[in-house]
Amino acid sequence: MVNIYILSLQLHQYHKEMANNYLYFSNPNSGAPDGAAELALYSTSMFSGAFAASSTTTTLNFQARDAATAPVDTVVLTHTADTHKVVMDELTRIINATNNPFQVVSDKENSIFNITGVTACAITTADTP
Amino acid sequence: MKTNFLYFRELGFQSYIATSGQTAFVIDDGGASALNFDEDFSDHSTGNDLVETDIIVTVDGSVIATGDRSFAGNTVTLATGATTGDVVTIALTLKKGTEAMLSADRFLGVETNASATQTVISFKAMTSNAAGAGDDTITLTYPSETNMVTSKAIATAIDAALNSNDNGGIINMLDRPNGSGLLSGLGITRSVISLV
Repeated sequence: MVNIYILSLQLHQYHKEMANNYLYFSNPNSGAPDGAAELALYSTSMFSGAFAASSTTTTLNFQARDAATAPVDTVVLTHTADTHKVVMDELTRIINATNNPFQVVSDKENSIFNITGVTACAITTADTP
Repeated sequence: MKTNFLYFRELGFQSYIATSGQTAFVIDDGGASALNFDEDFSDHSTGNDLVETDIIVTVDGSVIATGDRSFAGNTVTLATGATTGDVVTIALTLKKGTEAMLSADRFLGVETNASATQTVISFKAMTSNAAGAGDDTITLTYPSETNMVTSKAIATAIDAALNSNDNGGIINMLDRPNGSGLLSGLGITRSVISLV
């Protein structure tokens, strides 16, 4: 019984240390989701970095799903002016979160934004599903 | 799979108290000992790197339209002279290459370049997988060294940051506007972020 408990703890720890999280974004246009990339789920293992794109936007970069060389898939987060470091800090927390592999970053459809100051996102894919 | 990210931010702001009718404002930029701008302002005037619209000029809080200002080298000239006591500010707009967090998983190396005053930190490009795309780099400038004290300290700090948090986190490496970060005490006088 003790061995099973220890094994369970080890598996839990393995998940915490090794499993990927998945980042969820939605950016609906009006009506039904009939446009390209109104919704996206990216693996954190594909996340390659972020940069300030303007005073109110931060661009997140992901390796393209079709293995294209360039450009990568991007999600541009719109947020309160000059709070890029806050956005990057909280995004890092989400990427490394251990509570749930499914992590909502910016879900405009349901008005769920898990980064302080973020109000919208724009998803751009290198390929069309 | 927990990942650390390294954060860098460039310096890009200067302000002045205008004299009567003053139109020309010289930017302290780009050089090894530049105090206010990490980017080379002459690039902004010629469009070699960033462009003029990446610069915001304000007089007493009012933004000067792009047609009412001009650039030559590192001098900004207003079409209409300021009045005595006006606060004139010149700032680099935040955009790609001014503030970024880079993944430790994509770290490539730290190398001194062909000078005694610069060390380059390289990462696999975050925006491209193309073989010829080049790397994302952070080029740090500091006073000339003869014994590798600064460059080794940079390498040591990068190593510490890459492995600093087993649970993953963001590590402030060099936030130039706020004078903070692991590298902030090394006498670095310029930090240029170059993203592919």
